[in-house]
Amino acid sequence: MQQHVTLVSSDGFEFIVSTEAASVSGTLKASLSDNFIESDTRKIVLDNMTGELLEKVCDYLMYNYKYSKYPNAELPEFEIPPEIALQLYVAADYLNV
Amino acid sequence: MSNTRWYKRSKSGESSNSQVKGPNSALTEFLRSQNISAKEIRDRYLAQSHVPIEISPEEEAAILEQVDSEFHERQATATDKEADLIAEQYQARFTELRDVAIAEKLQIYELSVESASKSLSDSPADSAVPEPTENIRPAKKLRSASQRKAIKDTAKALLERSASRVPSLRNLCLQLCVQNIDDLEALGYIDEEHAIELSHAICRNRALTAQSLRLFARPDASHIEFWDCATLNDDALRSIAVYAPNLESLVLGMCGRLSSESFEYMFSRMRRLKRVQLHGPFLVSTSSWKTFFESIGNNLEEFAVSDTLNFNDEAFLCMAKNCPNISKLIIRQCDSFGLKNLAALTNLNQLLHLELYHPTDESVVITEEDSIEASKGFVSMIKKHGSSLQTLKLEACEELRADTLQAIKDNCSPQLTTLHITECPQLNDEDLQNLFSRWEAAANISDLSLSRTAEAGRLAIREMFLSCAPQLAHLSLNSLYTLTEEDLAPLYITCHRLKSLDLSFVRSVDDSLVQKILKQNPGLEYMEVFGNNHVTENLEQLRGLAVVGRERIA
Repeated sequence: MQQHVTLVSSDGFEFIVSTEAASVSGTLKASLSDNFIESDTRKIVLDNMTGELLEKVCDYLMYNYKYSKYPNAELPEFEIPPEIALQLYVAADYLNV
Repeated sequence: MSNTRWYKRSKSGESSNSQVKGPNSALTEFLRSQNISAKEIRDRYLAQSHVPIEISPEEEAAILEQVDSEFHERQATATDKEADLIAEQYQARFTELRDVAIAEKLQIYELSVESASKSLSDSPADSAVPEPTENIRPAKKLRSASQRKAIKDTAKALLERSASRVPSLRNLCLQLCVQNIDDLEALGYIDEEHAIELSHAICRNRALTAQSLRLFARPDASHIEFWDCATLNDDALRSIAVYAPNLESLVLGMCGRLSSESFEYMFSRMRRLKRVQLHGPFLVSTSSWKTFFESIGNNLEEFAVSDTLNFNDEAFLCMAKNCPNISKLIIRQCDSFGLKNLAALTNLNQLLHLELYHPTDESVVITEEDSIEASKGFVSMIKKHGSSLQTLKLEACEELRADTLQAIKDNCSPQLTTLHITECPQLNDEDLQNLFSRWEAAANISDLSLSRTAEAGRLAIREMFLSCAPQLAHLSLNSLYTLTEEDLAPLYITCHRLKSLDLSFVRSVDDSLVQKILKQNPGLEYMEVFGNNHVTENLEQLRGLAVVGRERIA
């Protein structure tokens, strides 16, 4: 399994995250399975998310990956700006996180 | 006299297996029969004892000596002004050193408790907590703030039926929206499914107000679910019909402030309504119910009502007469409604889902005549709809007897996928055995509950597994306490598709059984084990499975 994957927002911002962290999302995990071209290109374009939203999503993927791995570590609050909460909710639903 | 003799025997340390029966030996016998180890309880109590740790007078003297030597020079040269300050510092230093000594002892004790707990979970019956060393008395095991928070997070996640303590991003966003709901002016473009999920989160946090209601009650809305309307007054509830007249589906929970007038007004405006759920509308009168059913007529496809005395036999008969297109009917805790009128449901054309919970007032004594009448009503209903029924849930239907089970067996087809027969005291093990014995139609049942049907035992469960096991995805055997590990073996032999399982208060369930079940059912996500003291924290490493109800060993 290759180690990293690039997530591209609708406005062209690129975020490189580890495959394990991206696999927190059921949708991204399925995209990276053998049946899709994304598994070769290691690049997933998310047309329905702006760079601002996708950055927050990537933050969350790392947050979930890190703290699920260490069940006894103290879990800090995950900060979300209130003004993007609704849009982020829709994006999270799409990504199944 | 007999008590005195028993006391002497006990004091002399004679075996508890003797034939002498005193009050405590009876208790021990009972605990043993229930697979509860009195020794384990005692050991755990000792480990959790609240007596604080103290230091001995010798150790206190040593600390005083150390502090004296530290302050000796300063005290000798101090002026009167400095004396008070030095005395304060002296006292603070003494307290500090004493706390350090206590903390060291606490650490030693925690280590001994930890090792004792491990040995307890390895072989609970044979191990014991080691006696505390001299000067160290047992103390409640203290956890750091981060450990306490981790436990809290895990418990919170379990309540949400999730195995992970990290909250989902969806939940985090919903929570934030709920906190700021009063500042939201509109939801903007958000599809109905998401809006409903947001309304669920708001209701769960008891944050629904007349103002936030307007975010969801919109002219283009076709489906609204407000599960907690306790904070809405009659006018606010009435306004739903004004803002959202095009609703097709409406759910109002805890709508006790809804008056008859508003109820009639609402449903006179909502002409497209097909699915209605009202929970706790106790101000709505019987005549208003009748008006509602007469006006909505053929349009009503799904109806659920709970917790009201005014939905009585009269209203029920009116519903059955005027709304023949109901395909889903749920009636919960409407004490004035009796099962004897179930025959009226033969008037419905396409009933697929029927759920009846606590249909009769618990304080009423059920006579033999009542049971016969209710059974007759039920049998004629099941004869008409049995072949098409997909869901049948009967909870605390005290009148139901063996002939109703026979009617289910004779008339239900493989369409039936959900069957709950819970808390039916007149049904015994043999009745349930007959139901499941060679019942071909049971092959498609994927959701089954026999919870709290106390008489259901080994015979019924064996036949149930023979008929249903391969398809079962959701199973509840809550409180069937007579079942042994052997009776439950099919859970890991023939069941392979389980997703949720409730084995609470089935005392024979232990760690090894859960491990075996999980091995054969990799899709198992949720399991309840309340009251089973042999299911321990050793199962923590099972990822993806939320086990709820385990006892914590301190």
